[in-house]
Amino acid sequence: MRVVRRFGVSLLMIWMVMTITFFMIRLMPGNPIMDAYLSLLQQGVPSQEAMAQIHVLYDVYPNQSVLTQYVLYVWHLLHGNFGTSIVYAGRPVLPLILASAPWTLMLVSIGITISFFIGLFLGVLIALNRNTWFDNVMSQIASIFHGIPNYVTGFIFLYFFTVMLPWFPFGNIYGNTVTPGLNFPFIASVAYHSVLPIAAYVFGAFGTWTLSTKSAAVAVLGDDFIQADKIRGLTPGQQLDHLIHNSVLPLFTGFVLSLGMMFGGAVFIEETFTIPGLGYLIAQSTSQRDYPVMQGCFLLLSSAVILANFLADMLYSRIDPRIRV
Amino acid sequence: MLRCIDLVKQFRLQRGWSSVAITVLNHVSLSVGPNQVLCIVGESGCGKTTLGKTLAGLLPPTRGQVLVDEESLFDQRQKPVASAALKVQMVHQDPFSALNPVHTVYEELSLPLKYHHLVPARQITEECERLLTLTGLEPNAVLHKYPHELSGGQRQRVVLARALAVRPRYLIADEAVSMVDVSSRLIMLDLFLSIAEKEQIGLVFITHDFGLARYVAVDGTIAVMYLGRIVELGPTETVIHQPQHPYTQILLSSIPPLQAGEGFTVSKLTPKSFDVPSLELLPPGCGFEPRCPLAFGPCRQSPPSLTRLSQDPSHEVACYGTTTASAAS
Amino acid sequence: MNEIALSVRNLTIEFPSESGRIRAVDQVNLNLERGKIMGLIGESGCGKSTVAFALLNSVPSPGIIVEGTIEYTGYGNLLKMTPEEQRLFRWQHVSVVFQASQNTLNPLKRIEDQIRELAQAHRIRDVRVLLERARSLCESLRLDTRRVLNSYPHQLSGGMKQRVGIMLALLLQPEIVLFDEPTTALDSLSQESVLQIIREIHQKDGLTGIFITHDLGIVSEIADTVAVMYAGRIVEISPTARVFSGPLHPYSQALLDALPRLTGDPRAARGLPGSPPKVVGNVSACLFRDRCPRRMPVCDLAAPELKRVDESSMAACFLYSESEEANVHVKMH
Repeated sequence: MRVVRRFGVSLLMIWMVMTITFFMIRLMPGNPIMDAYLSLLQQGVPSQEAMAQIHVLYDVYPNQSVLTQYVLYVWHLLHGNFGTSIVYAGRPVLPLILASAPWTLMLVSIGITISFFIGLFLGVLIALNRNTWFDNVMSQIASIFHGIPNYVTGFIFLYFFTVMLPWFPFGNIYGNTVTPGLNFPFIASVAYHSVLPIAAYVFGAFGTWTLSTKSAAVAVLGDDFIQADKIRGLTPGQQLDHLIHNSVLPLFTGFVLSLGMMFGGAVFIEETFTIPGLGYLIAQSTSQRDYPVMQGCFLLLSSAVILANFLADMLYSRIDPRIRV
Repeated sequence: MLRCIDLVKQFRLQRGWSSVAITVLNHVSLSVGPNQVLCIVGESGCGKTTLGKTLAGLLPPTRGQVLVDEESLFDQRQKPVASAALKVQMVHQDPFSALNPVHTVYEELSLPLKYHHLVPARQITEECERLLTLTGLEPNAVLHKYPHELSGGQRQRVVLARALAVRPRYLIADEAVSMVDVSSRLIMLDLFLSIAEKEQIGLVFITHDFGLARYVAVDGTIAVMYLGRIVELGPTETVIHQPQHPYTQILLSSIPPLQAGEGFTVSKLTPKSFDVPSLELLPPGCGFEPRCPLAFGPCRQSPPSLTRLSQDPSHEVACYGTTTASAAS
Repeated sequence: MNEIALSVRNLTIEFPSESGRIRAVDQVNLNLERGKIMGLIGESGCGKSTVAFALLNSVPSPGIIVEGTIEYTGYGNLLKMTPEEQRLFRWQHVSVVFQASQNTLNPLKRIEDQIRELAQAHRIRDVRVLLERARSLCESLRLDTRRVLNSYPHQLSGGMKQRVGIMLALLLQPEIVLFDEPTTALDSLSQESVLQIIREIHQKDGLTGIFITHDLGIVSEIADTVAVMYAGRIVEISPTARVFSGPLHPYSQALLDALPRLTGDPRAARGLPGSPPKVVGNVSACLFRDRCPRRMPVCDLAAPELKRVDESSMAACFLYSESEEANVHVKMH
């Protein structure tokens, strides 16, 4: 029962975020539809005809009120129509997004998972060796990487491993000699091209996970039951198991949420490595005021985050018996 | 006189879709005069802290009234009336969390003085020093210290000094010495008592310990609380030496004889269960009925009300067993 | 005299701090007789819990045992065992009922699984035997067996968790059980029931134990002898009855005086002014002298050692060692 209600609330939130982004996007300076219309007028096209042309191209009339556009948009959305891109004139939004998503999801989910586990490992290790040289050195390193934006790491990697030492390819996500599909050369090429972007992502993210795991594990180490475990003569392995299980709890929500956030793409990494992913799409469409594409990307991102939140809530009660739905 | 009349306090607990109301205070009426001591004795969860907070104007009651010197503590909209609320101050149990860790003692004490314009600005330091001296602290030694630089006993004294800053007429002390070392508890209590006498302050002392209750309220009153109700009320020595309610008797008989002192006797009753019923599922009759070894028919029907004993009108008990017996005799 | 189950010699524990190495426990000597419960009483910070943890060689960091032996009869000095031997020794031979049992249970595991973990850790092959013993213990602790074993810790009330703590402590049938303020967090009635249970087990199975508390009243209910600690030292060891009728050390007397009674002159009880000192380094005077109503000149000159006063009692006070007092005087002049 509670699950159904929470799900309903999630849907409501998605609708609200969608509405807000719809209007906020249209508050941004610059209006591509008006621009296109005006340039048609300047070319001497009669206003009626220009209006019709615009409508054919973009499915909206330039003189329609924002509210009418909104109602139309929602109506189309309910029919699975995300609209058509303005920049790539006439191309529907959904396939655009679907074409970009796999690259992003592959890169970022691998990146998140690797950085999460590295962070978990290091964080617990640091907590166990609190106030030793290991703690000092590793915490500093984690803080530094926590502070360096991933595009900086990305540029450094690019410079060192494609320019100085040409070990890895630069640009795009697969070589231009392979044919996309389920064939070994293609997969190998994708894997080869992914190494640097994933590494850049991991170096940008593991520090955060390390620091949060450390603080969670330090708190758990202070709990009475860890001390009691030792006194009860539990084996070091059992004690470690209790420590890790209890330390993961506070990170779990963050982990699932970041899986939702990945639908926002890794904008800077994708820009740096020119990977045609979601982040790249969002950046491109935003700078060119491609309303339908932006709207579609933001809708996807917000839905993913909200649903991840919902999922995190539901799953949390599975891993922590104190929270029961 | 600080008194409460027919106080009821309910909390709503969220339970899935709906919420349930639990009654934490159930028709509580009590009073304490200036320079008198009232002890509220009960186990954790009996509502004694809620009662203390309501008496201090920190928690509006659901129904009922709190009167300070005949002035209502809460207005029509259940908002505390500042002038009345200042007359009642509370000293909390935990001196560690009751003080702001980033305020010095001076800041802690001068804040209420400035806020309520109690003394002219240039006399504030002087007044802080007076308050600290009153609570047995050396002003120069503590005035500019932070809480973490003070010992537990010193902190508790600062908390007391802060409560005294607004010159209250009544002090509510909620387990005020439970965090103090056993050997120093009576020193703290002596301090409370001497200040109460010097300043003609009425003291409401909340505790679970009959020994401490007797020490502070020898000439005062004890109210025994169970599940939100006063089950026994009377002069301290009477309640301790002639307890009438089975709950009071069980509490008193659970005190180790060597601790109670030579010659202390109370009929030994064993409760039927050690578990207190949940406030969400109160029995329809007397709250103590499920645990009471002496329960009989009427106890399961409706809760007994606090009734004066015919042989001793100063002693009130909420128990069908004793009131029928006393009426029959 | 009965057989000694545990003998502690010269136990000294220090905690490094900014103001030097604080001596939390200083030259503690005690013998625990088999089949007896010793009350270890003192105020917060006196070192009583640190002693208890030391008996398991689990002094919380950064504390260090700087000196002493902890000799378990039949097993030797705990501090000389290898870490693995120590791990297996704990709980099989000496266990603890903790002050806040609710916090000493892993919140993510059901009680039964925690028992299984214990079995695994202590290489008990037949878990069923252990679970059977847990069930019968639960019964004697008046716990609803099936419900308790299937519950997560948060599903149990405070009193129930405390009884689960006792069950776990008795599970591997240890020779010695340490009770670390097991009733402090409980209501007076739950407290009474827990004490009653411990007393029953003590009488029935001849449980040997140390009962650590700050509450003199509780000690009177449970202990055969009482050791009083002050500022890291044991100042008196006496039979329980004596501690209540006429303790030897002025500090024990002060604790007794601070106990408000239900009979007699209500104002006869009185508190003890002052607070215990923090001990850094070696002690060269009696630590209680500043608060002592019976202070003598000799108290400033040396720290009194715990000495046998008569057949049943020991005290660390110059009131009971006049000859030594004379000795110190001679040395001074």
